[in-house]
Amino acid sequence: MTTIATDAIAEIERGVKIYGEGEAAVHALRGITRGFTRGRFTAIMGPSGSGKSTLLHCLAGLDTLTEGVVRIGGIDLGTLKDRELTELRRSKVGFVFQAFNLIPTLNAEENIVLPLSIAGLKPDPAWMNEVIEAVDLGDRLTHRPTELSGGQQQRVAAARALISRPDIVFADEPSGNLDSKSGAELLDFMRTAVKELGQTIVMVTHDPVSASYADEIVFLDDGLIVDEMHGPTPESVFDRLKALGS
Amino acid sequence: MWKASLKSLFAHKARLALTALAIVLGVAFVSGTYIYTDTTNRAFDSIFDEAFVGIDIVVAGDSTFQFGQGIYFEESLVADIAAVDGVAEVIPTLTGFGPKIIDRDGEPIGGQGPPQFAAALTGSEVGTGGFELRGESRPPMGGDEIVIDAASADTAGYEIGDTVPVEFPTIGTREFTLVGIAGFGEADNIGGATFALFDLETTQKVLEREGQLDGAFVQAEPGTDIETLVAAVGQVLPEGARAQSSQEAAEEQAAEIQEGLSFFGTFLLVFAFVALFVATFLIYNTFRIVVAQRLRELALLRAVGATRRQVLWSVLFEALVVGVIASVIGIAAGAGLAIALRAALEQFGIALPSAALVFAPRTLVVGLIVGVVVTLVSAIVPAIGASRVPPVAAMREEMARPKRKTLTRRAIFGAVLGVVGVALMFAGLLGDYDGATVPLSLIGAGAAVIILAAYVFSALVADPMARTIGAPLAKAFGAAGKLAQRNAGRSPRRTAATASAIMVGIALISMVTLLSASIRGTVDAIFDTGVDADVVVTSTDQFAISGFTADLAEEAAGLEEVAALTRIQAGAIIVDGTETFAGSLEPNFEDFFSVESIEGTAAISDDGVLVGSSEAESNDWSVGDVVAIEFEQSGVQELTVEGIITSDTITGYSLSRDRFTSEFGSDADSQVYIQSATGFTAEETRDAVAALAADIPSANVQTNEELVDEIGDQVNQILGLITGLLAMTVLIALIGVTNTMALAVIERTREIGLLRAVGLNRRQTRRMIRVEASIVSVFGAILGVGLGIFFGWAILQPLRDEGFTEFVIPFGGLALWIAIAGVLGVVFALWPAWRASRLNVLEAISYE
Repeated sequence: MTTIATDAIAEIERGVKIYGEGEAAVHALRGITRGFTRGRFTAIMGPSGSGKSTLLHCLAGLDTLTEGVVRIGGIDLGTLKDRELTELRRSKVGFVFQAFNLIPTLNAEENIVLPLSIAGLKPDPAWMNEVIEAVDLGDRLTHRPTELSGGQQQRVAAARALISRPDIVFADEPSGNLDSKSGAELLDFMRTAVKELGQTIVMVTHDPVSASYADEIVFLDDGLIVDEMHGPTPESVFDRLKALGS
Repeated sequence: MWKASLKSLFAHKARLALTALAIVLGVAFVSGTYIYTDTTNRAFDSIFDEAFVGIDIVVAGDSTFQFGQGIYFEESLVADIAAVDGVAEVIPTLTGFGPKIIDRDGEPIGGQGPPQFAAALTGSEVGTGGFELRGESRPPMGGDEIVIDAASADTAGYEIGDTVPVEFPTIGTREFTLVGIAGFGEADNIGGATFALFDLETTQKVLEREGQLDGAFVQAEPGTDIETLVAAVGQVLPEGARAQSSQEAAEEQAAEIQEGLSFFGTFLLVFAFVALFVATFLIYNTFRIVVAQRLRELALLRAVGATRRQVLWSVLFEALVVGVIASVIGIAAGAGLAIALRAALEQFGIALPSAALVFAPRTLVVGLIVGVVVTLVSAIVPAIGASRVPPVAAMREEMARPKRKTLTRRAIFGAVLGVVGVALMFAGLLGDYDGATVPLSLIGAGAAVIILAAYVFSALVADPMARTIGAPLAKAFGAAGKLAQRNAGRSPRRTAATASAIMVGIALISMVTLLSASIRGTVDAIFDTGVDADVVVTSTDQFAISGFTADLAEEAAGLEEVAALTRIQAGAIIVDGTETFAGSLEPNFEDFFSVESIEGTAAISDDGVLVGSSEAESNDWSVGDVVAIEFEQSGVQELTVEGIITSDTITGYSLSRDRFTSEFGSDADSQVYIQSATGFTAEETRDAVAALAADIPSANVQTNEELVDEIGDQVNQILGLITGLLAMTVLIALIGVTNTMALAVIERTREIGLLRAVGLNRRQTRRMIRVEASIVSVFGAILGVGLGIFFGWAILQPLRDEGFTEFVIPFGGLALWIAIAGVLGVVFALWPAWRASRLNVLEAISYE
């Protein structure tokens, strides 16, 4: 059993997730233990049905484990009520989804500060500037999501994920719907956030190129961690996937 | 294809159930009204059939007056009829208006409501006029005995053997011993009227009709041909009397009462159709949203080969099924409503004869047709929209949006509707119908078209309005408020349709509120500047002719508190085929009432009449003209127009007091206006006069201010009743808020999931939905208030000439309705808000 690093900002311990009951039960996670270190960009890879999205959802407090413990910043998510869990997501966690990341009635800037305005807080102007500069939207900040390109929309989503200075950002196939250039820009932005702003990011992807932006990769298959890799390149990831037989 | 429709129907049970509820309520109103009136009508038919059992011919006055006192004949009538060949027995009848049965607290039973009667009850087995003595009762005999109707006995708690005081307009209050309690068939009274029954001689005495009758019941010898006998009896009758077979009389009397009640039915039907009109907005909106949410599915159907026509019919078929089911439930609910209505009226002391509920085929047919047609008509536009979905929309998200009409086209369409509506309405309001009734249907149609125009326009302003209304809420409720504000404006047509449904009810409520405030304003103005009196005595009897004894004014004139007084009488006359009221004035009336000008003289002779300027103008009369006025007793009389008066207070036809008293056979007063002597307050004078009137409950002594307040209260009571019914339509519209919000929650599942993921908690989620509903409701209420002010203003235009000069906008009351709408919007969004807050975050945001 792997031990958990003490400086892990998010961790899962003996995580088991079972959907359904009896004969129809599906074991999505079969007992996963892993910590995610502060200031690291981690990719989770694996074939369809390997449990990578389930793992992400459970880590992020969007779904609950059947057995085991998830902690973010040392807090056991299993002990939280919906209200406290929501508050934790708002203050300690950022999200970037594959699509439908933005509220259509709010403009780009309003979308970015959404987690803060929900909490009734004002953004720290210095941080706000830094994030907005990094998103590189220029004059499109006051535009509605429908007036932005797919890449711009995802960058706005990433900026929103960062605005509350969360402990950790979870990204679920963030570049999945983007062309390769926009995808590269987004992933660059995410890597920069980790390197220069000290963020922690956990990203699910099935694309070796996307995964190669990460510092480390966790390979999942059939609900278990089957391998890890540090300092990946697209080629090495591709080879490892092949070796894993997926 | 049908299978697809039905599947879709069952897949969306909840949202269609809400839509159906609107139809159910509308149809229930319609069928309930029909069932109630049919049932009541049948009950009256059977009562009058029974009333004349054993009677072959009815002799009565041939009066055309609705508010008359009846026509009276000499007692010799009985002997004259009895002498006719074939007549077996003649039972004299006598009935009169006005006597009030006094309860144990000294108050007249029935108050100002339905009329009070005194009638003769002979000991005869037949010809009781429908009265049935109950229990230990026996017919009254001699001057000290009385029988009263069961409802009055019940109200006052009188039992046989008790002493019952009765107040008469002419002879004051007398006490009688109760010897019997009478029902009217199974009912305790008829339509709330009270009856005091005496023997014939006593009835004549108390009505001051000594030696007089108002008719007779005739029994024929067995084997006599009734038609022939009717003709023969007719030969011996005096002027003003006529004979009818009892069957005809029963039908006529039942029809008369039914006609009186039909007003009530029409009144309810109007509300039923307003409710259905509101329902059309709901159904239209629901089907539009449902079609929008099913666009991809419909496009897929088109892609796999369904024709446009098939898609169109699949949506209409869905509407048809909803319409039929809802109508059937509505008709059943209507029966419940009819029962509730009867129970409610009984609570108000208006007992109507009970009978088994009558389901006329008409009720079922109209209920079904109305429900189905309303549903189909409302669904037709969304159905056409659905049929226009291109097959490619199944593959491409952005194609799956119907093309919007351009704003200009919408604005032009709205403007055209608006102009047509206003034209229709004013054609109805201002047209010259020469005495014929104002075509309410034309005004109603105009109002409906104006409402549609308002709906069309409201979509144009929905977004900016939502932002304006939502601005303070966005400030107060933070992110949830801001999101709600944006959401309220994001689909203007949907917001407009939801708000417009609320607008309809609020518009009518605002109109009624404004009209009552204006009436109140007019009354205030008249009594403030038009009348110079400190104390006013009025009759508690709405049938002014019974009034109160003239002794009161004579005694009051002698009080030290009283400086001067003037008296007014009132009674029914017919001028140019229309029944109206005539009054009598005393020569000093100008000291009490403001008069702009008098042409000719106000000091009219016994052969003259003083005519109000508006009557003179519309009949093209001038001083010196001879006019024909019909009185109930003496028939058509020719009177000379001796004066034409222009005044806010003195209108219509005024006779000299002597002429009036002789024409109506009564010197009872209808109103007395009193000025206090110096040194006495209005209250002191009122108390002094009230002391004189202690034994005259029908005389209501009030200060000027009290009278104005009382009139205001009466207006408010009617306002309350109408508002209550209209509030029902607002509630139906609010079901639309629930529906729209529930559909919006389904539509925005992913968005709500996202908001929850990034930190919106359940409470904030609920708040977001509730605030949006509140904004939409307030938007509808504001539109409604605006429209209501316009409707009220429009309706007052033709009434200006009738003396309704004041236009009062009751801002407080109208603002209250906007606030109520806002609060109710929140209440009706509780369920969708709860649903939204309970969405599974993960399911909401997962794609594919």
